[in-house]
Amino acid sequence: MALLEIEDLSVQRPAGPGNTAPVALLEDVSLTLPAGGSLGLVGESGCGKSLTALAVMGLLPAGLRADGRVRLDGLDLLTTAERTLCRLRGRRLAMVFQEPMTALNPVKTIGAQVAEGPRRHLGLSRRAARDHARAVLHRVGLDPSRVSPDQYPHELSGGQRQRVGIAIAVACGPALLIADEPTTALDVATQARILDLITDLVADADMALLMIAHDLAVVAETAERMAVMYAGRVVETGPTARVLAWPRHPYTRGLMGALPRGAGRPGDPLAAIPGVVPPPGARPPGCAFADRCPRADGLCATRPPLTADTDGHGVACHHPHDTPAERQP
Amino acid sequence: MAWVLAKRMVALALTLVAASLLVFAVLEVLPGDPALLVLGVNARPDTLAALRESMGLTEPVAWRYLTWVGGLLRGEFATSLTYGVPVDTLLAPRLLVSGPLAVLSLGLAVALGIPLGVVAAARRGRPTDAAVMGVSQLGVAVPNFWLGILLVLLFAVTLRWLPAGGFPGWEAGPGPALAALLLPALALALPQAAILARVTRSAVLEVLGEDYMRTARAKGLSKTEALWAHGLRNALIPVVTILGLQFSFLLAGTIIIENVFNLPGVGRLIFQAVSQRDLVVVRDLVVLLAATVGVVNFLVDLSYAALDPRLRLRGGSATDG
Amino acid sequence: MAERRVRTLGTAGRVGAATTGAVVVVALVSLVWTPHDPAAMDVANKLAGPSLAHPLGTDHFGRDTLSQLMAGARVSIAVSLVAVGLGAGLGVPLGLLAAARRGWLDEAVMRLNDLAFAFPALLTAVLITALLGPGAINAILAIGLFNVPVFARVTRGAALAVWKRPFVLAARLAGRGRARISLDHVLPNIAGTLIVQATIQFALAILAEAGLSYLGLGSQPPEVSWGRMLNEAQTFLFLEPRLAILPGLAIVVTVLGLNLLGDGLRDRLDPRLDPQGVDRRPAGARRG
Ligand SMILES: Nc1ncnc2c1ncn2[C@@H]1O[C@H](COP(=O)(O)OP(=O)(O)OP(=O)(O)O)[C@@H](O)[C@H]1O
Ligand SMILES: [Mg+2]
Repeated sequence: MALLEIEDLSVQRPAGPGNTAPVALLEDVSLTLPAGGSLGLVGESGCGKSLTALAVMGLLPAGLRADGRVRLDGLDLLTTAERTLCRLRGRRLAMVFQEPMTALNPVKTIGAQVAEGPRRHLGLSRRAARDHARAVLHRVGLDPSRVSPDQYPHELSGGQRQRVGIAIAVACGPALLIADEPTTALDVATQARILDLITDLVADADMALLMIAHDLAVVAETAERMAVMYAGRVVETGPTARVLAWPRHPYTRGLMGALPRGAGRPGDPLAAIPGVVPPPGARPPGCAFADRCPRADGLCATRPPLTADTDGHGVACHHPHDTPAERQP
Repeated sequence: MAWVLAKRMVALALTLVAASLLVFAVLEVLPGDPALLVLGVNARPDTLAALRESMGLTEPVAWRYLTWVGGLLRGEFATSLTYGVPVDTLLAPRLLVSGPLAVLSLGLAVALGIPLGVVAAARRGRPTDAAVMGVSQLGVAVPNFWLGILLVLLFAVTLRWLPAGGFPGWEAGPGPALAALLLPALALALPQAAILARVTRSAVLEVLGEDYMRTARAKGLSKTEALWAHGLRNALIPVVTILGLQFSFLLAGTIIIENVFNLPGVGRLIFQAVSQRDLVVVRDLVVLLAATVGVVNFLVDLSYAALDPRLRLRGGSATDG
Repeated sequence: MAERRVRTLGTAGRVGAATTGAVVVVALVSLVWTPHDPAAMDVANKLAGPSLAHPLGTDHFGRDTLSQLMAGARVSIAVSLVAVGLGAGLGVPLGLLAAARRGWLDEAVMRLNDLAFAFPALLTAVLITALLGPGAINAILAIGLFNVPVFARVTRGAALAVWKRPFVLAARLAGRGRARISLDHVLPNIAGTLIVQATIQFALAILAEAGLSYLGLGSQPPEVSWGRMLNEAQTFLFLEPRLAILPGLAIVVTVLGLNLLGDGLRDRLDPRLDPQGVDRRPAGARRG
């Protein structure tokens, strides 16, 4: 039994006053992540990466509904009582968010924000939790002699704040760490250091890592396996080295063509693929990528199933590439 | 922090100077002859001359202003034209009525309005929310003096639980005195509580959508815990602004409510002084009220800094990690 | 989807519009017709309960309560309308000027605002009455003066945001003067915000007028006003609570209608509101 098993996860916005028909945001997402393993999740902005992560955390925005199964240690989180989830969040599974500038409470010291989890989950006294927070902050590279735990978020740089975000997530030694584009908002030099820190922490504590990125380079560096998402679905999945060497889905190839522009902002259209991701509610019944795909034909009006080869390399495409990718110059 | 404090204090001082100049200009310069304003056009010339003498109107304007403000600063008040005693002697016992009344109403407004607003936000879109919003919509529309009359009708006339008006004095003991203040305080507080509930609700709703609330939930805090531990303090920042404003509404409201309930307070004193054209009392009280409002807003500014560390002066500068 | 919801007045807004409309109609009708002369006394018929001749009864001088309420609506609306008009007429240009010119002028307007905050409406009214004596005109002056800084502040804030928009920059690059830009581009874009604020201030003015006339500082007899009706009714509270309840209800209905209308208009007109219905304006802006 893997640590995290996501099976046919769907997220939709049910019909309500604003929309007459339910809108599917995620459809049939299936992913597995063994204890201590790492999985990268890539795709353009709006593909549903964050929603997948939030569905696992049980923190979907109000008004969205998740179906399917999300098992952590065999326990289906989607049907688990909120009280139990509160005991798991921050303790067994934890998350680092995309926006370090807004993810921290501006009116609490960073030490207090890190200490909060350990105090409730590890049963530490106020004092012990404070010392613990100090140590964790030190561990993520915030030396108490330079950055005091008594400082407030606004006194820190973006990179330092993201370190605090990481400290909050790892403070109780979770089994699963979800990092949702933890470096997107940072400058390039800081990005590399934050990624190093995460890989380091994960290796040290034998945590499983779900690394979300819209940048293949990040996934290549941090994850053993990867999954590519497009318009709310997983379109290709497999061992990272193999997928990158032999990307089978035309979308994955397109993403690789966009690789050198990795520093682009979320929401930028990919240079290598014309067109944009169809928004939820406007997705075609067949392959959602068809209208941007150079290989699309009539067959693509039906939805391609995700089929895997013996190496666990799966692709959802009627016309997958069957030669390795040519080397990028 | 010290710098912010100093800036605020200078601003407060300037506002007070401007307020006193304004009051002086409106009451003593614009009318041309204040003595005429006090006694009316039919006054006999010799009475007018005597009054001009006793009000110091024969002195130059600038000197009159300085004497007045200097007196206020030293705590030496001029003598009321109608009561014949210094203004502070008139003021002291009335402050003991209006002060507790203002504090009691603000306390009631806060104790009712803020929790209701938080509950409405937490139950957004559900019947509790609709009920709180409906009642508060009504509360905002009710004039406080009419509410006072209704309260008298219910609690004094029909149920006979509380006095309909008047004030027994603190000598009668805290029980009867507070009982006399309860209905007026409620009349002042309920409309303010309605405003507070609405402001609190929208502030909390705004905060609920913030990223750091999700971070708190990801740590394992329940919705309610996250709201108390992380949301409330952030939501209080706009609420405190309103509180400052409300206090000035409240002070003005005492003028009218003290009339409804026949309370011997500062508001009633101002009203009587105006009716009797006692300019000396009017100008002193108006400036004192303006000063109180100014000081309260100063305290509100300070409490921002207490609530929000971003407004405190920062120490070292951040370096990139 | 959210877009469409924001663009309608909403149920509450429609109720508000209908209520406000009804009160205005009653006020207009009272100009030409009331069941009785509101000032006509009939001591034989004093403190009479509701009857066919007097649907809402009579007061301690035998005056017809319904007629008085109708005439009161006229006074209440007229005083408030002129007062808010005065406030907007002075405040809006001041705010536009501050936003267009910035610098010392802006600073002066803002400081004036701070000063005005130290004098709540009622206090201003008391001061003005001390100076000029009671009366409808003085109530208008007092309420109107209190409204000037409110409109100046709201106009300035909204106008500053418009000045940052690209089409204004384009107009500036095209060499158009600040005054022209203020009138042609800024004002139309903040009109929605101003209308909403005017509705809110109108409601506040009705309350203030009632308060002043309750204290005897507003319109004087034989002019009728809801506030003074309440004042007189208080004497007979034990005898005839009806007289104290009806004028209050009239005030509440009018103010409630205006507030609901204001909320509805805000959802429709105010760009500072996000589709989730969360009020993102600085909190101080709401009550003025
Ligand atoms: N509360 C919501 N209601 C309706 N639709 C939503 C909601 N939250 C997200 N969506 C939609 O779901 C889709 C997936 O969003 P998600 O945030 O998961 O994208 P993402 O892959 O993380 O993109 P990014 O790289 O920009 O972070 C988007 O099209 C978004 O518009
Ligand atoms: Mg995302």
